[in-house]
Amino acid sequence: MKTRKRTWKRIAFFDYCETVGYLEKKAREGWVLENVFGIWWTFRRAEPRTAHVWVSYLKQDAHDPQPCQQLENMADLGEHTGWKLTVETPTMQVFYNWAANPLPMETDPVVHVEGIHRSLKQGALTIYRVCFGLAVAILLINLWSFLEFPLWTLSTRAELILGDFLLFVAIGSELVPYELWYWKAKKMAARGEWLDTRPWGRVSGWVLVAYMVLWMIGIGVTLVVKPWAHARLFFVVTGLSFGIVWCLVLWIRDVLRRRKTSWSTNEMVTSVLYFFLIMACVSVMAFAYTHLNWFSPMAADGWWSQYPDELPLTVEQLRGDVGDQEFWIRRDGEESLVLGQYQGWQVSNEETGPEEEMDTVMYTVTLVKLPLLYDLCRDEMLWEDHEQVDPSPWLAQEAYRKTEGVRLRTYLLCYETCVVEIRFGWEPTVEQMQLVGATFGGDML
Amino acid sequence: MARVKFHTLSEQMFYVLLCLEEERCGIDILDQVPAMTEGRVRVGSGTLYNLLEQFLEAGFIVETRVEGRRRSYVITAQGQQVLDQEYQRICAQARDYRRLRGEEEHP
Repeated sequence: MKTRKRTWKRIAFFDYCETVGYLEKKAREGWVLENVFGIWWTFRRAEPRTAHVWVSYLKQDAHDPQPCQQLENMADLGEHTGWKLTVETPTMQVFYNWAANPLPMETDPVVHVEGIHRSLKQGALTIYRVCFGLAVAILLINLWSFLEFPLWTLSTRAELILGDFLLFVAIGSELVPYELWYWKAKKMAARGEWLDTRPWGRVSGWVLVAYMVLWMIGIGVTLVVKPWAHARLFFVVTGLSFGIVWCLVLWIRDVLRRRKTSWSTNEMVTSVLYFFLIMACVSVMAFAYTHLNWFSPMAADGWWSQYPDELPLTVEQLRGDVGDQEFWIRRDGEESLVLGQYQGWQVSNEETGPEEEMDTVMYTVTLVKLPLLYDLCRDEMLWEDHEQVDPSPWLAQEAYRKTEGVRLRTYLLCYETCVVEIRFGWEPTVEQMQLVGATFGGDML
Repeated sequence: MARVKFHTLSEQMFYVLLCLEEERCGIDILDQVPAMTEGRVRVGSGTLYNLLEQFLEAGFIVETRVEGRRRSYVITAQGQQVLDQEYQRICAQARDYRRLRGEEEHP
């Protein structure tokens, strides 16, 4: 028969009622808690019987093998009334009492609520508040970015913004219920009443499950839909690697702590291990970056996958033979799940007068994947000084021309799935307009 | 409305401070309170731990001795003042009760 088992259980950081209920149920089934590491709970086999369990949240030095003085005080007092300290971690302590009707460890609701708040403030609560503040700050920055540069934000940061928002919700789903519970618990405690944490703690459980599901779906969709998703896969793998390293170091720290290794040795070993593991991860990432070619614009999943090696529209295609002149060519772009923006430039190096034609074409293509963003894209790209022109030569749905202060003939063309701003160094002919329409007006997605 | 901290004392707070008019350690307090109240009031070990921490922070008690893991405390002048105020409040309540009951018995 198994004498040990490990399960995973995610409980909100303040939900002591859920923790107590869970452990008392396990005791009735014949399992007593032996250790906790994150969401992993290790139980050892025991005689099934009724146990009373209590949980406290005193923060301790994670490297110190000895319980802190405060915990020793609490453990001694508890022992005197039959409460045995069974499991202690740097953030949580579990007491078992096997008597039939023991005096509870907490008998005053006011003192209990204040005690919990004081303990949590020294540990998890502060971390959650800081992370929540950072998440709010990032959301505000993203909001500002969207208001100031909507197309750039949507084409480069749409998934990150969604990820930031989900993280904000995930952190808030633990912090907000706690703050609400604490506010209500204080009021009820003043009347001598206790407030169960479980209704508040369960909110975070469901939100966290939803967050993980949405995050995994997002990763999957990104990898499937975007052919050049290797860069983002790279970041996902990097994040996971750092997460694994972090968990490994914490686990080793806890193992050394349980084995009563001295504080200085524990700290030294975990610091050295952390340093070398991080260096190893960074080395692997650097190797992948330099040798796997994931960021090369020449790769099949590089810039604008339909035209990985060249510009989609060139001066030569538009004007025919251009002699031996040299061009400065630039291409750049970003694409998200909702929007893509690409710039292609072919600029002649020949010097020409202000009224002379130039063999130059420059264009910005905004791929609109979400139809409800179409009007926003068109309005953002349209200039104040413009006139509407006949779209039919361009094979477009709408066409506009910039009227003021530009040497290049600048047009805005609206196609079904993209909006194109294109600038010519000459006055385009109808045939050239049609070539533009045939190039950009097809299915860009 | 939530009570202002230590503006009034709960029974357990009151008896813990009362116990500490003499120097005592935590375990002594756990035994003394039920003895003083004939078993009517009992303080949980976690509650006592939190109370001792809060009273230390508020300056109502002070740590006097440490013998191994056994720590002793005694009430301070500030704590005595709070205790006396609570006693006066309880007496006032009792007087109000007796006065009103007396008026009902003799309208």
